[in-house]
Order: sequence, then structure tokens, then C-alpha cells
Amino acid sequence: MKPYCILRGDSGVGFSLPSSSDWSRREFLGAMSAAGIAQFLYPRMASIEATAKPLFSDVTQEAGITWRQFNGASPDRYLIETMGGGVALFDFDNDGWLDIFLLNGGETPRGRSERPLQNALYRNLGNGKFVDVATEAGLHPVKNYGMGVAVADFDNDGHEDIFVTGFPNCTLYHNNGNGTFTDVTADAGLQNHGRWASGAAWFDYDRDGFLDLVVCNYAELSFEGAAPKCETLNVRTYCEQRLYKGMPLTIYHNNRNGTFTDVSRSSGLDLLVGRALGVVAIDFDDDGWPDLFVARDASPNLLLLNRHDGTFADAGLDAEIAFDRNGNARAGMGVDAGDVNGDGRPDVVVTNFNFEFHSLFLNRRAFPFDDWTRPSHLAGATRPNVGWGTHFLDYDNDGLLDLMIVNGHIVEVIEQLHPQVKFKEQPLLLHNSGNSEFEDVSSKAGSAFSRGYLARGLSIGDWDNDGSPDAIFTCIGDRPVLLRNNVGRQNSWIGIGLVGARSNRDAIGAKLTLRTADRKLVRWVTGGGSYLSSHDKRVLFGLGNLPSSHRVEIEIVWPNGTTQMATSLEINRYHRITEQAAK
Amino acid sequence: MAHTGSLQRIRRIGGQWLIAVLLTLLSNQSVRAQKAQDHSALGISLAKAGKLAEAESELQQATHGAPGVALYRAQLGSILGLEGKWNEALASFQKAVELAPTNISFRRETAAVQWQLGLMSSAEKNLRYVLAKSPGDPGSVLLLGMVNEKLGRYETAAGLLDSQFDLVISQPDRTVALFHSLVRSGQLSKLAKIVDVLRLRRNDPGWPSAISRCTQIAASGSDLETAKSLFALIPLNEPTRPTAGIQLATLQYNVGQVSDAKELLLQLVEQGVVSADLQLLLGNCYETERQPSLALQAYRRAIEAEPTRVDSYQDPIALLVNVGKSSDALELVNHAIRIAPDDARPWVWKGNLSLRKNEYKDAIASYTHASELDRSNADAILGIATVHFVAGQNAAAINQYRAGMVRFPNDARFYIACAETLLASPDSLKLQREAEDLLRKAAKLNPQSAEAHYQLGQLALQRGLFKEAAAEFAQSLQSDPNQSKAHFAMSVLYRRTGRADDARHEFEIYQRLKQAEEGGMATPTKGEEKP
Repeated sequence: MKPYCILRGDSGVGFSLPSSSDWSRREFLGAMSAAGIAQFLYPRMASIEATAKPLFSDVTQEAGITWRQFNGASPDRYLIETMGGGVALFDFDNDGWLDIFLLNGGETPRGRSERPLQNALYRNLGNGKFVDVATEAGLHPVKNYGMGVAVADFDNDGHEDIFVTGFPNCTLYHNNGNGTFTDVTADAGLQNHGRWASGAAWFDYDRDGFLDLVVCNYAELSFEGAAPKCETLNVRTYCEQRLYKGMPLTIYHNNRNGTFTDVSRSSGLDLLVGRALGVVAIDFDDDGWPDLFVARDASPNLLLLNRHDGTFADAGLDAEIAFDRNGNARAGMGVDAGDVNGDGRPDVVVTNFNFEFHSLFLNRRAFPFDDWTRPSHLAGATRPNVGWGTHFLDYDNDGLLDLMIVNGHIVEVIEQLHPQVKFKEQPLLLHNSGNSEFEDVSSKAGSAFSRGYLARGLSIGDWDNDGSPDAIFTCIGDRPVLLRNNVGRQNSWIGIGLVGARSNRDAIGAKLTLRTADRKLVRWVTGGGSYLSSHDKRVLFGLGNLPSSHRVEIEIVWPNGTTQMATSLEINRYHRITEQAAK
Repeated sequence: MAHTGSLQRIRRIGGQWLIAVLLTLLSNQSVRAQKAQDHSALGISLAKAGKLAEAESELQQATHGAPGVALYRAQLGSILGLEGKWNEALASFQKAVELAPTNISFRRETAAVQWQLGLMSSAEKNLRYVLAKSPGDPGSVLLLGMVNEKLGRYETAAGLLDSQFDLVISQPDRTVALFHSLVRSGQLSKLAKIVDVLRLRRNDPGWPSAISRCTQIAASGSDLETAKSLFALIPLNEPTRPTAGIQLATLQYNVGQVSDAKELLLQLVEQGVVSADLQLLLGNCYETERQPSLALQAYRRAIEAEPTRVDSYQDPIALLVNVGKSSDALELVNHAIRIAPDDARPWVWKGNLSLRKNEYKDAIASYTHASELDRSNADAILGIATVHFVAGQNAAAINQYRAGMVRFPNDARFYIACAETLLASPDSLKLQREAEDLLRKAAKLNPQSAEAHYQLGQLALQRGLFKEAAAEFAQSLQSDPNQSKAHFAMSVLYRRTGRADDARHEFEIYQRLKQAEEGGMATPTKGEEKP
């Protein structure tokens, strides 16, 4: 593990080095290679290392992840049974290692579990292994039918808290800082009672330094009475989403005292009725205020621009992201934002249903966004897929954002209808080859990418702290899949963990710009993103073949609008940067 | 010299004999001629008395007695014409013309019979002869107008008939011919004077059916106001009134006056009209008004009215599928197959049903069978291609569309569907040129094709050719103003060109239409039945 450099505003420096027992075999060989020894003494081994390893390895088993999601599958086929799968990568105990929170689904009237249902909190032991501490942490009970997870430090106390969405209530767990959590939902006023909530995102919409919360609500649902009955090829299946009446978003303002106020009405968001699933918070128009992109299922997607006064304006039609060209609302599930083409503006990916193609919209300075689905080759790569979790990541640290998407159908007999569409679908790894084009490299990505899953949530994070983004995705009624990135560290990189002081402590909404001789890399600390999932808030910049001795500088625009330069940063390590105090 | 005297005597006797014979002959001829004349005169008077059979007999004797008299041939021709023996009449007149080729009356009458028999070219030839000899001859001008009407030269016909207006309006058939010619040549402003005539004559014998025919002509020419005015003149007891009413209602339906059409049809039903066409149109009206139950009842009545009429099954089958009653739809399809096992259409419907239920193999089997029963049935080939498209097998769909284009080169649907499949593909950017060529071909084949113009508009919009896009979308909407997607496209176009208010307006229309499309009679898809 690389030394972790902590920069404070007063230029104090501290180091934290692991013991040698913390080093894995892989890290040892990496160090030998860096020292130029491995190739001379162990040429065959080095070349095997270089050629045999897939881009990602499925390390679920060796990591000790044994938890399974329970979805309450029943003859009634409630649509919620096929929609859950929240997951989060976050450091709950501040030991420097990302842990994993896995949210369970739940029971339905005729979909009961033989054993008590539990969520899982896998503590990262730092050696590639994890242990479930959910019970000790108080996160184990399944209080509602679980859907999504949004992690952030809502009270700026330095500990990551967990907001869980679901039906018929949501839950807010306050991190007590001692390895335990407390359900503070009632006090906070975040029940979102009676609604089927899906994705959620923490973001500071009014830039007061405290994170607010937007909750996507999917559709009206009830376990009372008979479920709508639908069939495909005489087999009972999940009904089309259009049979479920959509709901408006919920937005809560953080009152800075542990409570929240539902400001859905005053914000105007309560008027936007539809089947909302995925949400990402990022500053789309570069005015310093966070906006929202909401992916909605058979409802028009929303591009909600922050008007700086507690209200939002939907620019979906102007941006031409709401509908397809024929005026049809696609099945928007997952969403993420990132600068794909290096122009400094966040672009958007949205996952859709089979034959709709997952969409890529390039953010131009003026509306509309460019629908770049076909020119990017995303259309060809995603045509038969039903996509859910999705996230931009620079898996090979070449400085260009790549894309990971997890897929899985909902109709068991789909293969009888469309031979090229599978029920269990393979994840996709798409390499950004420049010019805003993507190449499907799934065949090189590892065994996990050649198997089919009913995948849903996808969380990205560097859980082994080697500077390359790893991943975990969830599956309906099955174990999740934990992936380790094997290639990112072959290039140079730098990782930044921001700590807000006047801004929200997680620095959600911050914009980071790194300049090298030949390029400008822009990244953001986003809220939300993917599907029902929460991610590592550290920002990784891939630097390609930049020599290790190189130093870089990064401009940080904090969520509250102030700018700070971090200069002379060593690469191939993480840095923690705290917001400067007011002068 | 006695023998010389004998010879002279013989010669004298021979001459006298010859003279006597001649005189006898002449006398006989005169007698025959007189007899023929008597027969002719009697025949004419019998004809005037309405005793046509006896008149014919007399004139037959007249022509037999005086075969070289053209007049008697003509008179016989006239009587035969009155009897409706047109072919024999023609033969008689032609003989008269042969005997007296310069007689323009005979020519005119011959032309009239030829018109009656549908021998328009021959009639026209005779009339042109007459008019060359007697320019402006009213009867000939009139008849030439009638001939041109039959030949489809409506502008010429209208001019000729209109010039003999008084003669025309003295008879119903002539009036209908003028009316028809004016409608077909687009001279609708001249119809008013005919409507006035018809109004005056509405109760005269023979005229109600003419009014009814004019109503139908006006309706088929999309002149709604004239059709309505004329329909109001048709007496209730006129047998052809229901036909005219249905045609008027059809026009009303087609121009969007659905409730007026429905009202008219219901009036006809109240008046005791039993008609499959009426019930089918009534069903269409109810469907448009989103009243599927009433629509189905009307369709069932249409089937009851003509149980063996296959096309009566099409609309109810489609409606049952739309409301999710696939089993009922299948029952109707099977019934149609039973009554017409060799008719391709029910097999196409069966294919449509299977496709709707995602039973692709069955769909292909039904479409294939339809195609085998009737190679000219393009719907069957389209159906097979559609199955491939819906199943996501774009390459197979395109192959099928291309085969369809070869087999049905003038069916625009294949070009449009192929273009749409190309444009739906992930590689559509490379295929745009080909798609555009196909769409332009389709638009040429069917200038009214809403879909072809819509897709061309989309291509132009993608290229930033806003003026061209606007023109194409406008044309598309002219053909089908209820396409939500075209209004959506217009809203995008207006938004891109800074016309925010127009964009908003078009978007509102799109939302309304989209809601109707999805909510009206929408049901769960993928073969799902309503609970």
C-alpha cells in the first residue's frame, strides 16, 4: 500500500504506513517490478503477470462475501421483487479501507423467507478479506422492503451515515463513530412514508454546508389486494411498468440540527410525477450550484437545474434527454455523470431496456445535449441488454473515463421471445478509446464478465487502495460479485479525498481540475449515481505513463464556491485535502 | 315476206311483254313500297301508343319490304332501342348509316346506341362526323359530352354538357353526368346551379335516384357541404338513400366529423337500414370515440348482416386485440378461416394475433400460409418481416423487406419499413443514405404517406436542415394530424430554432395525443390480459 499523505490547510504533514504483514503477494511483486528486479530475476513470472491476468478478477469468494439478497419472489410477481439491490462502498469506521454495505430486499405476502432477513455490513480487513459486522453495527434488521443506499456524512461529524430507501418507508442510520449505527429516521423526519422509494442522492442544493437529500419515488404500490396479473407466453411475469402509476420526487432540506424538512412542494419537485429510479447530483451548467439528472422508467428523464433559490427548473426538453426522438420515454434505470470527452463538462449515461440502447448524452455548452449513443458505439454494445447500475471509471488510469454497466432482464421467458436477449445478462466493460468512442472490452475483463446475472446495483470504489477503481454489483436473489481491478496500477494515478470545512464535509459537489502538459482532467465528487448505490467519494485521476517523479497541481472548486489550489502533489498515492479556512 | 312480219310481231309481243312485266314489276314494287310505307307508318303510330312489340313487327316488315330504305332501318333501330334491344338496335342503325352515310340524324342515333352499349370510341367517331357537318348540333354536343364523361375526360365532358345545360337538366342521367364531370374536374363552384335544379325536381319521378347518385359523387369528391345539401333532398323512400347516406357518413368520418357521421348512421339504423357497411363504419366511429364495447356490438351486427363477408372481421379482430381480448379475437379469426379457408386475409390476421402474443413461430406460419394462398398479398410478407423486426432480428427483417420490394415494387410500405429498420439499427449513422433513398422512393409511390415524410423530416432535423424538416413534418401531419410523434418532432424543431411558444403548443398537442394513444385502449403488452 502506498503511504497515505495527509495535507491539512496549515501545511502540516503526517504519514501512515502499513506494516509489512499488510502487503499482499501482488503488492510485493509490484514493488519488485517497480524496482526493476522482477523482470531480471523472474522474467517468466513477470510476463505471466502481465498477460494472464484479466482486467478484473471476481474475488467474491476469497473475500468472504457470502451474503445473499432475498427478493421475496412470489407467484404474485410484485414488480418490486425484481427491482432492489442497493450497495455501498464507504469507510464506516474511518480506518482508511472501504467497507461494503449490502441492503436486502424483503418479504412479500407470498414470498416469505425461511430465515430472518438481514442486511450485511462487510468490514474491510485490509488484506483482501471482509467480515460481516452488520449485527454489531445495528444495521442487520430489514425494516422495510429495501431498495437503495445513499451514504454521506449528513451531520458533518466526520462519520459516514447511511440512508436506505424502500417500501413503505425509508430509514436513516446515524453513524455513532464507534462501529455502531442508530436509526434516527423519526427524529430526522425522513420516513418518506407510504412510498416506494428507489434511488437517492445527498447533495447540498442551497450550499449552506449541510447535505440535503433527494429521494426518487418509483410508483404506487400496495401488498393489499390482488397484484396486477400479466403473462408472457402463458407464463406469469412481472407487469410492464406502465401499469404502475408514477410518483413525484421527495426532497428534504437539512436543517443542520439532525432534522430535515420536506421541501418537495416549495422546490416544485412535487409536480414532476413519474417513475423515478436513478439520480445523480452534479453541476451540469457549471454555475457552481449542484443540479440533478433523474432517470425515470417509461417517464421522461429530468434535468433539474438549480435556480439557486430552492427551486429547480426542468430542462429535459431543452437538453433533449427526456424522450427519444419519437417522443417515447425510455426505461431509464441507472444514471451517471462524468467528463467523457475531456471538455470539462459532465456528460451523462443512462441505462435502458433491451433494444432501446443505453444512452450517452454529451453535454455541450448550449442546449441540446448531443445524443452520442450511436457515434460512441454504446448502441451496438448494449442493444440486447436491460441495464441497471452504471458508473464511469478510469479502470486503466489512462486519463479517459471508461464505463461499467451491469445488466439483467426481468422476464424469465425472454429468450423464447428474442433469442439474442438473455434473462441473465453479462456485465459490460467499455473502454474509452478517445474521440468519445467506447470499445467493448468485456471479453478481456474477466470471468465475471462472461457470466450472466440478474444484476442491479453497482458501486465503484478502490477498496484495496491500490489506486485503481474496483467494483461490486448486486444480483436479485443471489450473492453480489466483488471485483478487483488488476490493471489500473500499471499506469500512474493520483487519488484525492476531500474534507469540507465550510462546505459539507464529504465535499459532495466539489469540482477538481488537474492539468498536465497535454490535457485537462476534470472530475467531480458527485451525489448519487448508478442504480440504488453509493460510491467511494475519493476522486481518482488516471495519469497514464506520467513518471512517478512528476508532481501535479489540482484546482478544487468547493461546493460553497470557493477555489483552492493543491500544488506539487506527489502522484501514485492518495492525498487528503481539507478545505481552507476563510481568510 | 310473211316471216318478217312475224318477227316484228314477235318483237312487238316481246316488247309489250317486257313492258307489261316491267309495269307489273313497277306496279308490284310500288305496291311493296306502299306496303312498306304503310307498315312503317303503322309501326310508328304503334310505337307512339307504347305498343313496342307490335311496332317492331311492323317495322321489321317495312324493312323486309323495302330493304334499301334507310329510314325504316333507323325507325326499327329506334324501336329496338326503346325495347332495350341495344345490339339489334345498333345493327339496324348501322345498316341505316350504310344506306345513307351522310344522314347526320342516323349517325347521331347510332352514336346514342353506341354510348348505351359502351362503345365510346365508335360513338365519338359518329358524333364528330355529325358535328363536322352540323357544328353546334345540340343533341350531338350533349351526347359527345356524355361520351367524354364515360371516357373519363371530365373537363371536356363538363364543358360540352354545361354548354347544353337546358338539355342536360331535362333528364336525370344527363344531370348526373354533368355533376360527375364537374366534381371530377374540380369545378365545384359550378355545382350550385345543379343542386338548385335537383332541389326543384326532388319529387319528380326518376330524379330522387339522380340526387342520390350526385350525393355519392360529391362525397367521393370530398365536397362535404354539397353532399350534405343533396342528401337532405333525397326522399326517405328512395331505395338508394342508404348508400348515399353511408358514403356521406364515410366522408364525415374521414374529415374528423366523427360524431356527425355517427349521428347520421344511427338515423339510418332507426330508419330500418340493415347494412354491413353501415355497421362497420359505425363501429369505426365508436372506436374513434374510445367506446370499444359499442364498437364491438356494431362490428358484430356487420357480421350478422353479411356472415360470409370476410372483410367484416378485420376491424373487430383488431379491436379485440387492442383491448386485450385475444381469445375472443382468435375465435373470430378462426371463424373467418372457417367461412373462407382459401382467403389469405384471415391468415394474415391470425399472424397479427400471434405476433401480438409474441408467438413468433405461429405468426410466421400463418403469414407464410397466407402468402401461399395469395401471392399478391403483401400484408403476409410484411407480417413475416415484422416478426423478424420485433424479435430483434434486424438482418432477417431487412432481407424480407428487400424481397418484398422486389415482389411488390409499388407498395410503399416495404420501403418505409426497411428504412425504419435501418434507422433503428446501432449502425444507423452509416445507413442513413440508404434509408433516405428508400424513404424518398416511398414518398414518390405514396405522396400521402405520413410515415415516409415523418422519417424524412427526422433525417433533415438530425442534419440541422430545419426548413426541410419543417416541410416534411408538415406534410406528414397533413396526411395524419393525429401522430403524436410528429407533433413532438415539431416541438423539438421549434425549440431548436428559438420558437418557444410554438414549441410549447406542439408539445401540448403531443402530450394529449400520446395520452390518448397510451391510455385510451392501451392494455398490458407482451400478451398480457387484463385482470
